[in-house]
Amino acid sequence: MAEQDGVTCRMPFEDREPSSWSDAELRAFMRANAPEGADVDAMLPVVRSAIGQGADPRALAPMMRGAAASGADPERMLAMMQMGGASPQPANVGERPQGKAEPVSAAGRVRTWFSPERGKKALVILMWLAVWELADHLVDNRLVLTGPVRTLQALTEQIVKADFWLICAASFCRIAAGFILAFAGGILIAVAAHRVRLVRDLIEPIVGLLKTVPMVSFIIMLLIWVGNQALTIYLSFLIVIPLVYTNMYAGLEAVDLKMLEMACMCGMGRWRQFLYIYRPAFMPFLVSGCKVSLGMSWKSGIMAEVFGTPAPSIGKQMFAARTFLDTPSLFAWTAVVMLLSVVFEKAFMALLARAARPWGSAWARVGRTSRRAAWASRRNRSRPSSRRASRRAMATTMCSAA
Amino acid sequence: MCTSANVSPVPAPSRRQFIKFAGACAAAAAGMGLAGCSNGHGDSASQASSKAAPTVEDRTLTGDTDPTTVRVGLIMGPPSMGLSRFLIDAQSGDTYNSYEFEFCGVDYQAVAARLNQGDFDIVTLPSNLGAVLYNNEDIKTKVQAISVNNLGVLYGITTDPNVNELADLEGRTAYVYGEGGTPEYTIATVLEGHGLGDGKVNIVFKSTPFEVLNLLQDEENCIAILPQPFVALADTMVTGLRRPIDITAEWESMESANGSEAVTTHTVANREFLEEHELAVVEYLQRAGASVDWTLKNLDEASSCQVELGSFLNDDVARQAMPYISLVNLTGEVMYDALSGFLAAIHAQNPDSIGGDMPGSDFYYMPPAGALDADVQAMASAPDKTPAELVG
Repeated sequence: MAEQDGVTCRMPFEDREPSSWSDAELRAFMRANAPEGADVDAMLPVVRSAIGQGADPRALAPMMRGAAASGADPERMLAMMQMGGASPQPANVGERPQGKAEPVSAAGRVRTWFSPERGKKALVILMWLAVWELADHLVDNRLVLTGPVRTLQALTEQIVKADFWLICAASFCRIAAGFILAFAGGILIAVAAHRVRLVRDLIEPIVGLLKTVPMVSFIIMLLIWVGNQALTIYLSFLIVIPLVYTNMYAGLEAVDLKMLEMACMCGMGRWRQFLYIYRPAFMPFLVSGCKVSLGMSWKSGIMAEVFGTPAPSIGKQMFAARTFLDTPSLFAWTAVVMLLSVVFEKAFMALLARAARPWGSAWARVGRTSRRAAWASRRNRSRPSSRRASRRAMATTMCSAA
Repeated sequence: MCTSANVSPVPAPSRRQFIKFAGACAAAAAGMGLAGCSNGHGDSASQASSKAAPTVEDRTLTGDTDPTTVRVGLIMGPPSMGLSRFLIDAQSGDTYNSYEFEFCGVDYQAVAARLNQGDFDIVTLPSNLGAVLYNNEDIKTKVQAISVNNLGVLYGITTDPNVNELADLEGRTAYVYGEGGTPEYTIATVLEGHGLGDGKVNIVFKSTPFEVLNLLQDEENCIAILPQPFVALADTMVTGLRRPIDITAEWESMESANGSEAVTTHTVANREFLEEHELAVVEYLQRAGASVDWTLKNLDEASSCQVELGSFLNDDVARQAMPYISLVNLTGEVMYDALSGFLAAIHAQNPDSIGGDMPGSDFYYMPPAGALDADVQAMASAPDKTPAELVG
């Protein structure tokens, strides 16, 4: 039985990932946190399934205790959890001792590195490189097509030049700035549109406009309005922001209303709702949106640089190569853009994947005891009985509806 | 910083005109952007001439004198605007050899690529690209410059009544279109040649001519250096605009000019074709020269067929611009002096702009003495005689 004032004893297995907890450990955890009289065996499959979907019981625990404190009886809690989408699954799915699981996954990793899949992939790439080289020989017009060997040669000629890295860094910074501004702006606007209908109605036609205006029109007008140095940032921004907004907005709309009601009943704050209920809902949308828009930001950014030729920039180099009929250099710079684009995409997607992971465990690890104490004391301090009563009424309505 | 779209202060007719002409001018300017005009410094030119200057010789024509089909790739705009008469004659089958002209918009990269592909025998190109092709070791086609089509097309224009000559630019800002192309090097050469180098004039490059036009409208006493036909276009859009500075004339008055010219475009032939069918190239040069002379004498008539022929997108702008695009047909030793000096100047500013090195003397085609004055039929029927003998 958990202490209502927040001072709880921590069980040793709680430091491990919940997916590795055995049924016995999970039962013990629930007994410690669920309200008195709860049917732990009945809840086990539900909780197990919730864990399978990325939920963390350590983060759910305070919610469970909150619900108990507000008077929801165990049957109703179970009904709520099932209503929230967690369906019972065989309880032994996750039952695997961690000691054994580790080496298996490590061995698996080693195996995938040398897997026939990778070999096949490499062969396919080699095949296409050979086709490219062959095409170079067949076309036999170096003003039109440059093969991989000549491109690599041109690339090494560029890399040894003193300002190569400066040029790359300048273009990278411009495009990354445009993308990150659009990423942040798109999220903020989507949140505002989600919360205030008027904002959505006002924003929607502008987003539609941004999506359909040809890139070249942006370039021509922006060149006059903002000049060539800022053009790249503006263009990447304008191309990316509707993508981020649309995906983020769809993600927010996809949030599970039942989960929100439950959170509301349990007295979860707005920020926590955002982190633990909205975030898992919109993250898949945001991730897929970013995959597309990262590539777009580079495509549009380099296009802007070729038109605006700010110095130093990759676009200016490409323009010069085109001007002086230096096709090998044009191909080499194209390769550089592709590499930088992939590096940026991988780095950003890795950060995003970090943000998409369940946070419960991380949150719990950082001074859980003190946070629980804070949680409990805040609850005791700031919840007058009238609010508690209204929550109770709401919970009753909710459950009877079910 | 510029604020609004460039069309706002323009009255309705001009706006229509603007939209109509914008395409044409963009095309023409793009074509010339690279070409720009640059003059040879006297000293760099003499360095280059260590590869001895070629001379016209009394010799017979090489290759076959039977009529052949010549495929010509043209860039729209100034390089083709003097060829109207030739185009009309070729269409009506009035030439000894048959000439098939194809316009490729302003896409000189495509023209160069198709020359290398073997699709064209003769092409017009911005004046630095012949040397670029000559120096390019990756390509299979050898090229020779056969004539110069346009000299300078750059003008200093301003709304400031106090700017009347080049020296007045000292300490001022001038907006320029054509960074990285020959306009940049031409302007730098002219400023240096008149003692205005070392940043005495603040040159600010804009990425499109439209930005410059916008500044001319918005900024008081604004100075710009633009190529034709944008100068003609600016005239229709900016009230009180004057063109006090002719960059081409300033080039010629430089002490270091030494017979070099601000060359904007030139004509290049596939060397292999030239050796096999020299007569066809000679006829081309005769016809092109006659056409330029005719155009300059009949500006109204010549400009009225530009759209029909495909050499420009608007007859009215063509009429306004034609007297100022320095139409010429320089060949032989005159071409060598003008072009090699120009290439030397560009080379001094940025070797990459001509492909790294000054081209050797074999780059400049020297027709046999008298060939451009002799009758084509006569040369064809007497291949054993030198053209000089036929002329007498």
